[in-house]
Amino acid sequence: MSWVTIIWSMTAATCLTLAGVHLLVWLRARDSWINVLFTVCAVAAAAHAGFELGMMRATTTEQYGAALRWSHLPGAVLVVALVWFARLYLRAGRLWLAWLVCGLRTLALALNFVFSPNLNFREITSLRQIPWWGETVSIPIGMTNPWTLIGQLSSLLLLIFVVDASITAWRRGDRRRALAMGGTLSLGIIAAAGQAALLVWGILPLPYIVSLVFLSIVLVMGYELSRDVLRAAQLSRELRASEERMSLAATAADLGMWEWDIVRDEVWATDQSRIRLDLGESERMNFNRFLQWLHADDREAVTQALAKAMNGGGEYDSEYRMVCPDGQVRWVAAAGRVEFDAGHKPIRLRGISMDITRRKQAELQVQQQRDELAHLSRVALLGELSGSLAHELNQPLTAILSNAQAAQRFLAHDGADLNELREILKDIVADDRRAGEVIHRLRQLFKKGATQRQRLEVNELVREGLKLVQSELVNKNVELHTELALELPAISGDRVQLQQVLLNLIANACNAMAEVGASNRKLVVRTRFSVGEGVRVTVSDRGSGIPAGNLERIFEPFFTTRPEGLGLGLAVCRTIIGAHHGKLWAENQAERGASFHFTLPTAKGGQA
Amino acid sequence: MTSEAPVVFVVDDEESVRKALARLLRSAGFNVAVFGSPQEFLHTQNPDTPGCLVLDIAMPGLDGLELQQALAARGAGWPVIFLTGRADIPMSVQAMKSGAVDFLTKPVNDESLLAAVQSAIEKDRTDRRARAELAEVQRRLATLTPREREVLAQVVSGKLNKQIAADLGTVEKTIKVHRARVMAKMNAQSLAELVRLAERAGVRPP
Repeated sequence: MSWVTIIWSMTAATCLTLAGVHLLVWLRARDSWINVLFTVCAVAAAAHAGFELGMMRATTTEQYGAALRWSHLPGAVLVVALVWFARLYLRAGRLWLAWLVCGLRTLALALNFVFSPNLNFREITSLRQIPWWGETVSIPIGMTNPWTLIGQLSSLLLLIFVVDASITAWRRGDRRRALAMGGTLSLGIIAAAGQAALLVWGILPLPYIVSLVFLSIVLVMGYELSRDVLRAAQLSRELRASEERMSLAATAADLGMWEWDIVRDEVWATDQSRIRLDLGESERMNFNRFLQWLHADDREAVTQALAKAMNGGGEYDSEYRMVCPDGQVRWVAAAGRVEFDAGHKPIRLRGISMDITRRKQAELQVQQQRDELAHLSRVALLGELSGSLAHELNQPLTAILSNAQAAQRFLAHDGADLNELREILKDIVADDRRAGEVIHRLRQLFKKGATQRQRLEVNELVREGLKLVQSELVNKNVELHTELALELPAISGDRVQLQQVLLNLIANACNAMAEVGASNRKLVVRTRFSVGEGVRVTVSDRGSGIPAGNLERIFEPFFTTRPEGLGLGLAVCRTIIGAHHGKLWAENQAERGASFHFTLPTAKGGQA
Repeated sequence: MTSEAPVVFVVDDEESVRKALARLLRSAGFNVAVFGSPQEFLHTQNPDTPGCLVLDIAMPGLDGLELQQALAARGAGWPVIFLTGRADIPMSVQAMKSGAVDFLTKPVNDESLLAAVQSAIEKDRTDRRARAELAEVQRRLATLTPREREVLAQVVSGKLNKQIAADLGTVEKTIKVHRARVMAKMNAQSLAELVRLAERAGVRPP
């Protein structure tokens, strides 16, 4: 066995093996054209090696000529395949140049079969036998065919194409690829075409060893491709690891992950969500089904939030209730992001959802307790004002009684004036209604109830509140001044709770002035609006003021300077105003006394 | 002295109550005048009109008690009936101590109110007569000369003419003349009456 045979056979075998492997790859992933091209290159290289061996073993000039002639076929195939391989792999290269190369090489191939013996030689006159690698091989002696230039030209153009594509790739930043593939191909082309040319022009008395160059090219190509395969495998491992980490995190935080393919209307969800909703592993979910699980009251809000995300910013955020198959209602907070396609149409929504039932229940409980506390405080306050409230009822009752008794007396006379009686009855009805109003208002104040939000006019609120306590003020000899701004924007709030705050402040002011001389008890209630803080209500008194260190302490629960006081009134007031997004605070006045201020934002969110 | 019909003055800051009380009083045949505040009443009323006051004790500004005091300070006044929405013991005690005729709680019973008004009007009549009489006595007293005054003082202290003459340094005859003039000017029919009149007028024995 000679070295030449071994080496050339191994070359062919290697190429064929690699070709086979990559063919399999292509069969698995049909859109991977680069593997096909590689297979073609490798097969062509193998065939070429075979023909080259044939040439070296040729004993007659006819044999040599035929072998050389047929070797052009795989050669051309290889060139064409290389062009497209390079273009695909480097993702660069001028198309017209590529076609030119292919065209020229095909022309050369055609001419090769036209000419006899082949493209390279006009005539092979004889074969010389030279010793080479421990064997004797044949090399041709003859007249060169000028048409061989076409073949060489195509090789040159191939070189230019490859270099140009590599430079483009390099500039793009794909430096490694450009250098490795581009460099190898370029060198290979130079070596192969150069050696062939030297041989053909009779300059170099060596046999064709182009196949070895082809083998190197094939090996490099194969290596490059396998690098990609290895990288893909590594990425896949990293991805799996990353997924596992995410899954762990999600499980630990009791998060469910979901993805909604908007185009196909399919919803994918993690096991967490499925278990909760009692969904089978393979059961498919779509948007409507999801809506069905939502609590009826929350469907609208969720649909709106989704629409907002899909039409605009892409951020989705909502809280809603889900009714599980077993009847349980759970609170869920969901957040996600929309993926848009090139035309800014939403194609996918990915997000997470978290069970916040416990948090929501706690929040509801806190709100309930707050409402209860406000109610208790209110009842205590009304107790303090009970004298005044009774007086409010007493006035209409007095008028009604006296009117009725007057009517009785009129009727006892002969010739009673019916008009007078009609007037009396009208007044009785009006007074009764007034008394009914007072009772109604009282009932509202005594009622325990959840916070209600309404549009309210602050001045009206103040006037109503003052009416309830006016007899108290008279009783305590307190002089009342009101300075209500003419135009105040409406606010949003709970009527009962806000009146509670006002009454509390007024009651406190009266108490503060209990020690002051009767002629100096002045109470001022003022309303005002400013853009920065909204509507501001101020209650000022002429008492002894608040010690500077206590200006904040008075709002603490159970802080009181009165022996019979519980000390909760101001704390509750602050909570109420806070829940209305306002502020409550106290100041000492320059001359005498203290003033309490509270602010409320306007109804359409006017607070800066 | 005018003999007008007595008027009941109702002062209450609540309009419906004023109207109702006025109607009730009118239905019982009284003349009524209503006022929304003590100030309004003070500015417009003629102290010579006979009648009585029905006041709400708790009104903003000047309250009922203060009005009563203001009126007393003027030396004139009408009998006062207080009405209140709050039955407060200290308040009622204070009201009665300051001379109110009655203290009623709201809603007020018609018979209680009318009875109180009736007795108040009578008291007013009696008071006015007494004041008128006093005024008359004082007028008469003012017509006495200083000498006659001295004689009057001595006479009503029970001294005999002789003693008076000795004290004042004149003769009994002169004293008798003075005494007769005093009796005439004072329009007293007897010594006892003179003593009574003098006492009324506040003449002090020397």
